[in-house]
Amino acid sequence: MEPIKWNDENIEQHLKSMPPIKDRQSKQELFLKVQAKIEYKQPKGKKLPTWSLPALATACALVLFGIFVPDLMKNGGQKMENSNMAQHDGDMKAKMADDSAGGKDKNQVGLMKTERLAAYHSPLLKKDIDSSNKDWVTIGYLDEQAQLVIPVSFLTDKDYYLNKVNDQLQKFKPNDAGLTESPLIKAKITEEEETVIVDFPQGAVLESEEPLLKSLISITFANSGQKAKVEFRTDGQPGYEFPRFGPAKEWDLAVPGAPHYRYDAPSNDAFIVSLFSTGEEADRLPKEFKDALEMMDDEQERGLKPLLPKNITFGVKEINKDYVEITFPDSIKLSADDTEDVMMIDAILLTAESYGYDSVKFMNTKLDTIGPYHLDKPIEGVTGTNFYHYQ
Amino acid sequence: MKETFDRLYDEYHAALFQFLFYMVRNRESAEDLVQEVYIRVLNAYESFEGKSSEKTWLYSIARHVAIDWLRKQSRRNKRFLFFDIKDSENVLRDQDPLPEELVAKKESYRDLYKMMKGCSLDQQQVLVLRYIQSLSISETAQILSWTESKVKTTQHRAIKELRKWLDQQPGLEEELKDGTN
Repeated sequence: MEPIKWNDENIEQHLKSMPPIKDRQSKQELFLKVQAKIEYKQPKGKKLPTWSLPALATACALVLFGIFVPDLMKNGGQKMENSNMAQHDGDMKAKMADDSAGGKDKNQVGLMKTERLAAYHSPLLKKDIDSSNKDWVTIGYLDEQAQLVIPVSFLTDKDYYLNKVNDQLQKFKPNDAGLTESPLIKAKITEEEETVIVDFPQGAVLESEEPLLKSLISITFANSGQKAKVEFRTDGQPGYEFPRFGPAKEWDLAVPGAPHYRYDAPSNDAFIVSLFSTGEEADRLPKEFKDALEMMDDEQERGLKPLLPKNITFGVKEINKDYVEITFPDSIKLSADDTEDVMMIDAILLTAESYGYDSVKFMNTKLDTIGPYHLDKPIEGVTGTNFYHYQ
Repeated sequence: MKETFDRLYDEYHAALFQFLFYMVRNRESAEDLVQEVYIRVLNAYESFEGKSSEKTWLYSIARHVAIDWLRKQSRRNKRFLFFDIKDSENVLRDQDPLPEELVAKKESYRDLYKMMKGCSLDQQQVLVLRYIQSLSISETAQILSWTESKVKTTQHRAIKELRKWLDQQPGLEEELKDGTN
């Protein structure tokens, strides 16, 4: 029998005749599930009248001012220079206040608390970004010594991922946050499906930029699995001759799970940074979240400081592949207002997220809220890291 | 809310569920994700400005929900891939059971379904929207926020990619002679 080969036509016909797959949930069952989730996310409460929203925002600003001023006085105004770093952009802030007043699940208190931390750039919650109709992007920059890749996230308008990267590379001045420029600013960046094409002029990549280039490109283009590969070109021609690596045509990109630490830039800006940012190879990073958590009380090289207290053990229970419960030991006393404690929670959440856990429930914290987080339910949708808010 | 849900369900549910299933390739996950789609849609319904059609808006939300889920899976799998499995070995590995609707079809459909996983995510989206969902080039471009020309190119490459994978599959001669099921 002559074998019949597949051709475009019969492939297309087969695709068109693929069987319809039916939802086994009934309409009513589905509605009840959806309704329950919407109500869970939006606790019932009387909606405040429209006039109260600006009033609430003003009141919050006054409270903040009251908290902020003594701190500034105490620090001789040093933080004043950096205070603009943590100012959320006007639209976002107004949106948060707006939603909060509307009785939605927005924790404006936490966001405002991080505002108080003049130089700390926190991650955001996806629901807050979505509700403000914004998008986001994360770009890797180098620290002043070119020893670390510091991921910086930006709120953007909705756009193609590559456009967002290119826009922010031009717009953001990393020196303002104690960082140095990304080598990517020297490249022409385009894309082809899941490959990003980075076209450098000949000799553009400095020897000092080279060791962290793979981490930097991965953090910029694969932080949420956007791209799987980078292809290099030199002035339009395939491949790039690196000073140390030699010729390279393409690299696979991935950001592995890794423990997170604090990095303080010389400008007094504080960032949370993964151990992958040191250029560490994936196979040398902890394979499991629990092991990563255990490493997070250790001092690391290149100025990475632990955010977890020394010699304590957290209970880690994986409820399912998306959801993990973390039990604090009795010895830890968290404070809802403490910058370091908020950063510790953020570092744990970012580490969990890097290992694929979307939902994290903290147990035995003895607090109802900390920073922007309600601790009585799982925290979901931690997005980006080190958000920089333009004035 | 019930009225809006009822209307959207009656008009679009079968298609949206179908889209989600063929994107995530797991019935239980598609059932969870379709709930998430309705939550997002109902939350945003009042602010829907009608710049695109309701249909493409719904698909666009479903697409984002599916991609978020796939990226999460990808991150999770990569954490194992780094240490245990080479990417090439994993390309066509489908650990989820086939739905009975596909089990009942001829082998050629099952093979095609399996081979779709060898395509890139962009290509898979186009295959599902253009062929399985029978959407036009223009609708597909709106849903994906692409140009029509990019949809056409990706569609062409996707079919080429499928053909490459399928040509490596033996044993479909008789079936193809019989015609489709």
